[in-house]
Amino acid sequence: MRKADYLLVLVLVVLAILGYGFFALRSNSTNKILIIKHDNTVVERIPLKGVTAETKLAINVQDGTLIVRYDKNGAWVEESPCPDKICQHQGKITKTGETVACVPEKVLLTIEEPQKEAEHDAILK
Amino acid sequence: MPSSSKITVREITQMGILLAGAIALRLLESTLSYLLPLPGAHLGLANCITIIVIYLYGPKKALLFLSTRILLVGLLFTGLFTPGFLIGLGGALLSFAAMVFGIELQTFSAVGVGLLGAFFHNVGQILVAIFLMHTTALLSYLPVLIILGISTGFFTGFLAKLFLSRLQGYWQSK
Amino acid sequence: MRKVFFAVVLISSLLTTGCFFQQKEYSDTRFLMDTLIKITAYGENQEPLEAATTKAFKALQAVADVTDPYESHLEDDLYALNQKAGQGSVKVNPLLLNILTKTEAFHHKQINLALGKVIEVWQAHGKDKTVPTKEEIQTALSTAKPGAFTINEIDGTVTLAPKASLDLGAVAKGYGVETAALELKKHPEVEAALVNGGGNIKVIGTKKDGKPWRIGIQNPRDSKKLLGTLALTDNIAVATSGDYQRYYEVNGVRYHHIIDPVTGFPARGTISATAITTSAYVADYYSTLLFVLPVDEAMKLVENTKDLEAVIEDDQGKVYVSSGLKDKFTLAK
Repeated sequence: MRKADYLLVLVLVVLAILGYGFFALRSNSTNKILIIKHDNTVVERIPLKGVTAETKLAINVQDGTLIVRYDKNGAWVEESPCPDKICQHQGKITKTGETVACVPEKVLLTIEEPQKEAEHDAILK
Repeated sequence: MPSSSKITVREITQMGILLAGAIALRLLESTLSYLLPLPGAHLGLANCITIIVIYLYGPKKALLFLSTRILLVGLLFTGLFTPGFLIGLGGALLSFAAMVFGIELQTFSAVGVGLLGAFFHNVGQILVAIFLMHTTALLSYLPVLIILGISTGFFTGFLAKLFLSRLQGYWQSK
Repeated sequence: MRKVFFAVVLISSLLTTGCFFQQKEYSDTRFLMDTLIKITAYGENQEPLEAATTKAFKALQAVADVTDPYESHLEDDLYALNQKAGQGSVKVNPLLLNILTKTEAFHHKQINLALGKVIEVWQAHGKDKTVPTKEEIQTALSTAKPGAFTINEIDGTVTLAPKASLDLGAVAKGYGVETAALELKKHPEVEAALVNGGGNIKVIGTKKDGKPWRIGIQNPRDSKKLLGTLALTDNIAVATSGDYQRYYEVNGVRYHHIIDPVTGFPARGTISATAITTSAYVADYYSTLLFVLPVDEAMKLVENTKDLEAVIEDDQGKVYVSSGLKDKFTLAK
């Protein structure tokens, strides 16, 4: 192995650590909003703070019905009609920025924080 | 790296064998695919063969090799133009470009090339997934994949190096 | 080498163009009904948005022309009607007839469409920055008594008492905005749109990112600040009536443009009233009504009226928010 190879390994490790640190530092704030997107459109925006019991949500997708479950901490895919079922194995997302995606059925679950200073679409004068 | 553009029967035969090996590796990888967060996402072990092909036959023939492999894998396993196929394609193409670049630079050994290939393979997969799902939220998978990529990249690069040094002069076309 | 890169770039760009979708936006602003009106339309392709917006403005112009009390536009418009006061029944434009009939159906004494003469008095004094006398107002008010005008829906005519004059300022803009919105809705390529007529806003459809429309209400005493923000979804209209929109001051007293039909003088007690409902026309009507009514009566009316919400600030600075707006309104800090 040459010097350049070692250097490359170092760079990649640093990148990985930085990337991980960036996502790990996302606060586990109380104001989490669960966003569920299907086919590039937002189908649900659920503030997790107000969720009292575990809730089930069914989405009609290309190959059948995809079932999402969520509680006040996070969300996960319980059942999906996709062939690989990768989304079912991705587990539960609880922190801002985390995602669960079912690419064949075009479903995305993600957790967002509400914007603090939102732009206005119009002002009544 | 040889630069003759004519392809000989000998080369086609040799590449055919390597192709079989690459497809077999992909088959092996897909049994582990449930471990990864995206469909069609794979570790990139077949990169090992791609590295060997680039070194032995040059980037043009290697691109032919790669395209054939991708097409066959698509026909046999993932299905053509499914999201899984596109994700794999994105990863393969980006890593190919990166590996050729790495080889041309001549500063890396096959190990470095393998690392580059694995890294860009994962980046390519995530980029395609982001375009398909229209959200940058999937970037959160990148750190995990980078770490995985370091080990698979090292592994594939090392194996390629081993293969090439053992078969030095034996498989090269005259 | 170059060829390899080129091939890779070409293939990857081909792959991504198909998957990339950006919503287009088209907006146009025109001066109509004495206000700057902006229509913004969202959809997949630019050209149908432009076409739809132009049609919407055309529809708005028709409403503006037919309700303009200052200039003549059509033979059977409001200007023509006012000219023929005391001359028996006059055939009016069906659009004008519709506005009059709808407004009369409400029966609130706080809204009087016959205040034309009173408004004229205030406008004359506004130019000189003087205050009209009680007598002047009483004389003008006498032309606005109940019965000052009658509508005959079957003939399509309106009869104006002698010296009476109609002014549709309380509802015309809202009606215009609603008409524009309805025109936009006829075009399926318009996926979402916002019609902004200053104090009258209507939104249709949802934004591409699924977030609600964020509409801010201007702070009645500081034009650079907001009273609060509303988060609204599809097909909602908002209208605000305020004492800060058109006024003049004499000796520290503000004389604004919303006249209480009972006194003939600007309504007191409230400085900003915002009504939220489905029709922009209805929102305009209620924003004026809620402004004129005493605050507690106004809030009671809102709670008892279906599909109506409101935000009112009284002259003491207190802000009242109706119960249906609980998660939709945020007070500005």
